[in-house]
Amino acid sequence: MPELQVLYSVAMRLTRNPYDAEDVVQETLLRAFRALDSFDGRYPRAWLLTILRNTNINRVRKRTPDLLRDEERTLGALPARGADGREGAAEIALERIPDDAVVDALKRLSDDHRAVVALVDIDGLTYQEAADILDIPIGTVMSRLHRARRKLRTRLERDGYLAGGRP
Amino acid sequence: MSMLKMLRMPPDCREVAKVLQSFLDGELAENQTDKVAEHVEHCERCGIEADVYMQVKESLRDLRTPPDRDVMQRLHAFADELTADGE
Repeated sequence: MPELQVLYSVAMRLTRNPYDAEDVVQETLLRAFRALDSFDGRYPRAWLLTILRNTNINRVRKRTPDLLRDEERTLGALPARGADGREGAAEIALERIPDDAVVDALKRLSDDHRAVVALVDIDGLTYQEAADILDIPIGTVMSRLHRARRKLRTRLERDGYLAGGRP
Repeated sequence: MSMLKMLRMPPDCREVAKVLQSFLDGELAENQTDKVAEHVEHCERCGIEADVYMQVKESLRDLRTPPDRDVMQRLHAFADELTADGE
């Protein structure tokens, strides 16, 4: 099941915790299995990612006190929040990433920009899949992603890591 | 790319610049993809732009780390169990 690795990577970004990520993926698989009859057979990965996103939202709701929850619902920010109520999806964990120069450039991006870059370029999601996970329009994914890459490019060029040009 | 830089470009290159990243991500419609691919192949300026963004994309892809093997084994076992129960 090649989708499992992507599901787990995205779950790690949403939960920032390996135990929660594993739970979320298991719950996602369970829900997917139960809902199999309603699946039209197209885009299984996108379907699973949508279930994963909803599973994570429910998990956050269960853990978040009612007062906070109401506030979050008003702000419409719940999907992008982690279990602790702070920014989740948008605040990407970078500590395990090995390449210093790229990691350094990534850290300088805003949370919103880093989130789309991580989902599309590191995890390999499509624009639509990233839009579903972050609960933002696909046009916003595109503009954030393209702007983020321009910033990364500028930074990496400035630091001398990006040669550019054809041989 | 800055607005001024774009204004100084030939119209073809300007159009390509607008969609270059989507092209490299494989997110353009097929007919548009062919046009951009052909342009990038023959235009040095846009070819260089494409190479640079491919380098950025590849350096990010290199950050992808395989998830913990034990976790993946447990998740695969869980998925297999679900399917087996359903049979």
